[in-house]
Amino acid sequence: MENTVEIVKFLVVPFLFMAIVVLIFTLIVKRIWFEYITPIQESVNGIVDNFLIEMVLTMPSREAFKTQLQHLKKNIPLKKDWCKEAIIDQMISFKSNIHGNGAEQINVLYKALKLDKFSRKFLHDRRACIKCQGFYHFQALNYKKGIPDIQPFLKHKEIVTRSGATMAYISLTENYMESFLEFKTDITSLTVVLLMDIIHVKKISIPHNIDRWLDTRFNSMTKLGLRIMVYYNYNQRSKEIIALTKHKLDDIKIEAIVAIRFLFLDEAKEDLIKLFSQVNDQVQLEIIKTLQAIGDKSIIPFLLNIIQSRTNKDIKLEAVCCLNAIDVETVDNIAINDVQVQLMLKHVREIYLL
Amino acid sequence: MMNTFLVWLVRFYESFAFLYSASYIVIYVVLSVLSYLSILKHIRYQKFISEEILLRSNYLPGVSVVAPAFNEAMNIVYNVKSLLSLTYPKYEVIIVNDGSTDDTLLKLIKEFDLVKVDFYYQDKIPTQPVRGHYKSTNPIYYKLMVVDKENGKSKADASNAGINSAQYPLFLCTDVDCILKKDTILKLAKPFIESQNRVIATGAGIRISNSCEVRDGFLYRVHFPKQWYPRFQELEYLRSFLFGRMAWSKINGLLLVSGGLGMFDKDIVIKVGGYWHKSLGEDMELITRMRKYMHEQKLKFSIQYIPESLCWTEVPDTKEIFIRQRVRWARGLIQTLHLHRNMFFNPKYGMTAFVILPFFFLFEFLVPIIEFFGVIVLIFGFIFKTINVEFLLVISLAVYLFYFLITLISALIDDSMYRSYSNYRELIILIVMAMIEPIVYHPINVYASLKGYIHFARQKEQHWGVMVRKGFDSQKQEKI
Repeated sequence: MENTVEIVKFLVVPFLFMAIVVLIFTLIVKRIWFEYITPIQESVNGIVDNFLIEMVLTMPSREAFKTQLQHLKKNIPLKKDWCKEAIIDQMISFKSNIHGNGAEQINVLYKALKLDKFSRKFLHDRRACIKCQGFYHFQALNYKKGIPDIQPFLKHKEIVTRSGATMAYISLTENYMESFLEFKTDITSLTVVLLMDIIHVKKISIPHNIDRWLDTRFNSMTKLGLRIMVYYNYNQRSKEIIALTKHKLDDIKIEAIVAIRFLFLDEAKEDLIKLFSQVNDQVQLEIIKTLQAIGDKSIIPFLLNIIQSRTNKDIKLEAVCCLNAIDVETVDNIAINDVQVQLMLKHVREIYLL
Repeated sequence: MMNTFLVWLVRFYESFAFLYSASYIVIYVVLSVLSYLSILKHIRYQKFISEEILLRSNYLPGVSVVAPAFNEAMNIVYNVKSLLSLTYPKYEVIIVNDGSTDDTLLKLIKEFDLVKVDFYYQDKIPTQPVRGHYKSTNPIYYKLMVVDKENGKSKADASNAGINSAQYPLFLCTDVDCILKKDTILKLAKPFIESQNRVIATGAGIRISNSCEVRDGFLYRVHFPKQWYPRFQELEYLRSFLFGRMAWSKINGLLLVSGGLGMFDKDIVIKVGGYWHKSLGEDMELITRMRKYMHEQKLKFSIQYIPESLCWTEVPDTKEIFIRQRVRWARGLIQTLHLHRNMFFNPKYGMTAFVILPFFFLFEFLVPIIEFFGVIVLIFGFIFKTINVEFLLVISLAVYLFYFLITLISALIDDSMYRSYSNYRELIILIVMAMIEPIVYHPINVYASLKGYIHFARQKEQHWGVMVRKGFDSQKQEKI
């Protein structure tokens, strides 16, 4: 015990005390530094902003461009990382608001200020999130010269790096979607969402090999394929889409059922009805929603069976909604003798709940 | 003989207290490293995922914001407008009027042009009777739904009615007087989209709004609280949210997502029976039950925390109300641990059984008891002159300094990331508060916790109590 007290007294306590002093000092100094640097950063932002506006709107001659660039370098602390990041952020925000030659001019500036090297440095960091920041710079600035730098990461073993690289690569090459399939890898769900946005914003045409997207064993690719088909209203592979409703994964089943709904594949009716009893509640709900979009009076017996025999009220409510959309008379007749259906019918016909 | 026994007792307690403190410190050092890594990762990932892109996407899951309201007539209109102004492509706001005795409902009806609708209500989670559902005839407020129900004497019952009425797969539970940041829904929903495991709940930092400038339900400027109790609570929240919970989130060990701000997977919440209306710590109890369910079903899951302050709430600013709140929290803790005692060291419940629950038992529940015994041993030690004064002073100083250090690290992380306070004068006040907190504030906390344990042991009738507390503009009444 004596030794312990000695250790705590002469080692632990002084260490803690020193740590506290350092922390208090850091906390206050950081704050003072922040209050000192904020106006400088704001002024740099202002200078960069003016510079970008001038460069983009006036499109100066080569000589004027060089002079302006030298002038900018003199007025801002370009060697500082925070300054480089601030300029890149400004460029990205600028780029998202302009098109045409002006947008190209930003990339010229990006290279002239050697900011591409700064972004490239990120790609060689061991941390995935830093790598992704580099990919993002190239992607957001549409910096096509960065393509060779991104390429090696397309088959990276780490999913986050791979996804980041894939997104940037697709965005920059635009017709890469075809070869994307060949990489045979899974991507994150968030990447699927972001890729759909790239397709939308860049107006990337439908991949020529879209037919093969449903055959891959990588589920995220299948999901993406289905979403692309829906986005382009591509209904040439209806048989394969319908077959996917029997996929072992519920996620894919649901994606396929949703695709059937939006592509109006009315030939799927029979298959969906057969599938209904073999799947869980969530998939059943999606089936009924899809039948409401593609169904006709032939599915009335199926709906009646659900309404009269099912105990799950969510499914019953969806079935009432579906029947109400297909045949008002039938559902009205059922409601006469069934109070629960009456209440459900009021719910589905309530205009403020639509 | 008596003296020998007392000497032995004091020596035993000294060794125990030393080992306990040492293990506490080691655990906190580990937690701080985990927390730091987790925060760093979060900040870096934020940089390259543009939220603008996500906000215009059609592929995000829908979210129902559930906010119970009891006698909130004073500020309800502002609060609802604030909730309706959140940015997210697919969400609804469900205000549950929990049998208010003032004109909360009338104000809502008048301001938002509400009419009673034929909503088919299913009590998937049993609640007090629901009187009706209201929707706005004004398309601007199409996201708003008001559920009017009989008072259930608990926030849990009202929240459950809101969950039953929710149409989307995720729901965000908050208090109607909480002020949320505009992008709160997106920030909390993002882990549900990007995680490879099934995310069942997410939470984020809550801060204190007592001295903040609030205009029409919107946060205008953040200030360090001016009153003593809120100041100490600010430090506590800072430490707890930024430090503890981020670390637990890193190892998927979260047992608490605050009732003030949490997003949940509706399907799982309904399967486990929703909030337990008899619980005094219903938020912790729900997460424990959700973890239990996921373990039993052998489903992979995660509960994640976001190191950002997304919600500002008013906290008790008087001793009486503060103690009442802490008594309830302490009672909620022991109630939850007792209720789920069969989970302890049961291999079926994995990490929850072997790491999380034992941690909560040893370093949350036991702390006030050990400290109380420490005081008794100290008194006896002084009376019978058996105390090793040097040992006492050295260990106490080490624990005090460590406690202070942890608070300072939290403040440093917070200030580096978010610059929450307007100037360094407020930071200096924060440092001074952190310095005196262990001496002034901590004993009151220990007292409240012990009182809570005693109430639990005596099965004293539990009630939420009503307090008068200052709103942003004027006084209002609210449950705590």
